[in-house]
Amino acid sequence: MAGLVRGRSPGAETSEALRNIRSLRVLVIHPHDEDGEELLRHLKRIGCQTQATWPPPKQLPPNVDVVFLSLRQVIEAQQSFPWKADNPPAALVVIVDYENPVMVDAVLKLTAQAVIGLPIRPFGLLTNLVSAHALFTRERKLQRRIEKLEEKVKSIKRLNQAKEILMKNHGLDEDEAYRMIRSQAMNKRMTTEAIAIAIINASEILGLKQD
Amino acid sequence: MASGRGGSSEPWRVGVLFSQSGFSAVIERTQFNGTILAIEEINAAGGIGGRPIEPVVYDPGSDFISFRRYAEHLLGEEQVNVVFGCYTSGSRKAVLPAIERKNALLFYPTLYEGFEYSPNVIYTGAAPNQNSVQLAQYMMENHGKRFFLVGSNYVYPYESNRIMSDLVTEQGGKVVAERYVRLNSEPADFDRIIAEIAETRPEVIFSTVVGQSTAQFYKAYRAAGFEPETMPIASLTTCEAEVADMGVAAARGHVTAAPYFETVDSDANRAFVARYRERFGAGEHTNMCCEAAYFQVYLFARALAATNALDAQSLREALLGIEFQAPQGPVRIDPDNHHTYLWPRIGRIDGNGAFEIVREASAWVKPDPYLVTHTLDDWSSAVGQVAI
Repeated sequence: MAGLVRGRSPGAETSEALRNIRSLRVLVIHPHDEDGEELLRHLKRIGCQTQATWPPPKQLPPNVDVVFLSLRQVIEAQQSFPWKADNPPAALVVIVDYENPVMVDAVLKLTAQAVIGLPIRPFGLLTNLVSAHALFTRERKLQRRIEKLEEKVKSIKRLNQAKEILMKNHGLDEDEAYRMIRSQAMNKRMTTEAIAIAIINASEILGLKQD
Repeated sequence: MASGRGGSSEPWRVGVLFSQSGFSAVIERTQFNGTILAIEEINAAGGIGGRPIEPVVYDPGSDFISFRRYAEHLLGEEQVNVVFGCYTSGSRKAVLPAIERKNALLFYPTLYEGFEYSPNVIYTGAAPNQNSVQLAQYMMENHGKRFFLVGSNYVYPYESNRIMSDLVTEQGGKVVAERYVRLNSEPADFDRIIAEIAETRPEVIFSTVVGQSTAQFYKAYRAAGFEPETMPIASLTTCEAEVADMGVAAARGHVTAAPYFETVDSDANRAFVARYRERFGAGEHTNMCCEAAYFQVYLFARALAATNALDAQSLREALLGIEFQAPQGPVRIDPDNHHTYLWPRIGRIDGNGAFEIVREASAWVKPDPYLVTHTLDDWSSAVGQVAI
């Protein structure tokens, strides 16, 4: 019991995701019916900047943080909905009224961060909204980090390849090869990576020993 | 045609669920009295459409499971469609599923922590933007920014403490500790907390202790020899009922934020207090929860007069945006969120056990139950000093 109560440490600040909820820009893609209206009303009660649209837009408007998507109706509208599941532009909360494998599969393919059921009930919306947006933000941060790391690995690979070329063709040891690349980079005000690429390209053209 | 059973002189039957026993009976009894007083007044004036309101009363005894059972019984066997009741958030959450399933209507006359909206509830107590913000500002201006938080162990104190912590740290203040006691506390449960207060010497103690634990805490504070002048207890729930329970000696000097105190200076309130004492005894006191319980019956009656039917759908439509001249001042149901426009006030308990109103709003404040981040700027223009 005490553990639960003290989950909030004294004076701990409220999470940023929650504090910023009123600046969230929410797009509701749902037919204009009773559920759509109830959803819109509650999002406004929560205080988000909310707009609704139907039919599904051909292109997502810019500056949207969270999208609520009425899944079955979008499928039934037989309209291609532009959603890059591997690089989504916003957090996605899917609204479902069936749980059959076709629908669940569609949810998975969209990689939604949260799912809510019909009919719309105010209870649970706030938690799903905040949690979906936080999850999306975290995913995007991780994605960016992975991209950066991949870039770094590539760069190290190239540098090593360039060093090899210098070592093979000029009889340098590894340290000397690296110093040579670095001094070239400093003289020409380029990155060591750019120099490494130049060396690799040149070696291919000149038919230098690669390894 | 009017709904309900039988002919046109049949009473309008409504459910009333307030505890007459258990840890929160001390306050729920006054909510019960406020409800009954309003019903009797309305009936004495001829009822609604010539039909009296008939309260169907059960005592849940401060037990959440009983709240749920009686709510189901009222909505089932008793065929009631409108319920007045609940003090703690725990009891409200207990009856809510039944209320929603039957598409009935609950009138809830208690301040609470916000973050709820049900189409089947009318909330007539204060939301945090109508009491917490005002209390934080008053305490920090007049007493200091080192806060010690003490609460009963349930959801209302958790959320109230989160809001208070944010407000205090936003102003460069500090929360030195946050402690909880069980709802059915014993006086000894406060020993360690009192020792910690003596050790940390905060400038303000923010108490979200509720029910009979309130008197235990204030008495323990007094027994420790602490001074309200330098280290007052600030509360959102301690009202005239708890003051009567703990006695003037323990209560004097402490501060509460609420939309209503018995000392509100208006003809409507003086008449309300006079009728209340006439009905329940000269020694009885009104309070914020009692007043909300009272005026919400009138809001219901106005809506019923317009609909002449008890179904939730038409009553709800009639209730949204409805206004009433309550003892605290005019009140209005917000059509967007079902909470109530109220009049924030700050009261300090004087040597007679009455709340001296040291600040009050110059206009009603719109309820905003989903406000996560409160700032002190939101209300400073709305609540001014009382000219004394």
